[in-house]
Amino acid sequence: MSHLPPEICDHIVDLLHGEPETLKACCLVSKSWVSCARNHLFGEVAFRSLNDLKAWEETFPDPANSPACHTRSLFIACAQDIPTAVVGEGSWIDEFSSVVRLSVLSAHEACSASQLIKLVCSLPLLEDLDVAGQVVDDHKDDGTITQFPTSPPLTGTLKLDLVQGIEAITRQLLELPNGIHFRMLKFKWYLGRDDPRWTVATMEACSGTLESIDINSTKLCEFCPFSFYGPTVGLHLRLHQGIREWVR
Amino acid sequence: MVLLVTSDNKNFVVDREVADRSVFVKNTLEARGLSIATPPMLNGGCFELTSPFLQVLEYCQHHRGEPLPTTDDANADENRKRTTDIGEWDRKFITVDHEMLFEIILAANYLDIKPLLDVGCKTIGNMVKGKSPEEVRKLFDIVNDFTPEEEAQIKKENEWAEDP
Repeated sequence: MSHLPPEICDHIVDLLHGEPETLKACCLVSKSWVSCARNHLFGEVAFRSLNDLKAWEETFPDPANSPACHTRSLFIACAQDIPTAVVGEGSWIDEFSSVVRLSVLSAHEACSASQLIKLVCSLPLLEDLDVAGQVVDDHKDDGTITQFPTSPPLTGTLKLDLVQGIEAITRQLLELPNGIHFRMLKFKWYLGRDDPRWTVATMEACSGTLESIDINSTKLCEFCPFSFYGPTVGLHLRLHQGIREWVR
Repeated sequence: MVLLVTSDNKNFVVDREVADRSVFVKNTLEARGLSIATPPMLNGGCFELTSPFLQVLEYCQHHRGEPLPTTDDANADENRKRTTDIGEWDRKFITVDHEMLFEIILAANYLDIKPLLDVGCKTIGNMVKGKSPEEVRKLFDIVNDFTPEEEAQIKKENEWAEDP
């Protein structure tokens, strides 16, 4: 293989995408194999606890040698720790510059909506956002929302599966400087405290790109204008030419 | 019919349909309106094509008439790249020694015959599967340029890797 040009070696390693043990072996063959093998090995990274975050920083103290640039899917299960541990100038999150999918789970303790949005805005290529658990609206009292100079494309799927916090997240997403352009919305929540108008506003904000909506919530049926308008829901969505699917 | 001349001045007369399996040859003929493809050069040096070219011709003749992969379907392209399955005929065809395998891959790459390039790369991919780093190095004559400390560090770092 030393006779083959780099692009062919990369192609061969690409074929081993589903073979993590072989990819780990490839990393150790020679220095020239490391980057391509890591492109697959570090395609997905998960932080399941604050200790994971600390361990990552200890293992990869030098951003220049971090494999984070290969990561396309990032999962954070310790979202409630974000305010103190993650976001800030020169933080580790900046290394994850290629992430297109962010999944956040905040199961036992609510995470802050504003910190979550900071996290979103730290990922310049982010397309898909998946948040589960519970989110608190920490800017609701004073009405101020953090301003960002730029925001990611957000052109894929927005999936919110929350006990509470859909309003908190959507109202801040709608403030992002580059807007939201999701093709698919998946909303599921369990309490009726969130104002459903923000859900409608989210749909309207994505009207130019929206292809699919999947809403699964009995509470939505009780509180959302859809339940009042019933069959006339189409009137709310009549400008959304891209919508092909309506699943309730 | 098309006359193809390799870099070591061997002439091959082949059907246009066979020659067109190579995107390089097809584009060259279309651009020049000629029936002769000039001897290809690779990496700044003369590439002795005759030996692998006979193999390449055999492949093109066997697969003549089959649809060529298109560049406008990214998903199909990804799927094609993500499987290491090789058809029965192709598997027998590509059962050659390492040197010839590399030459076929280089020829397929130069002549832009993606299906053949895939077959060659998949064959190497299958050879690498399950091998230790040392076995891979031995298989392909690769020099280990890691220090023991660097190797230990890579192993430690790779513990972070999730299963793809």
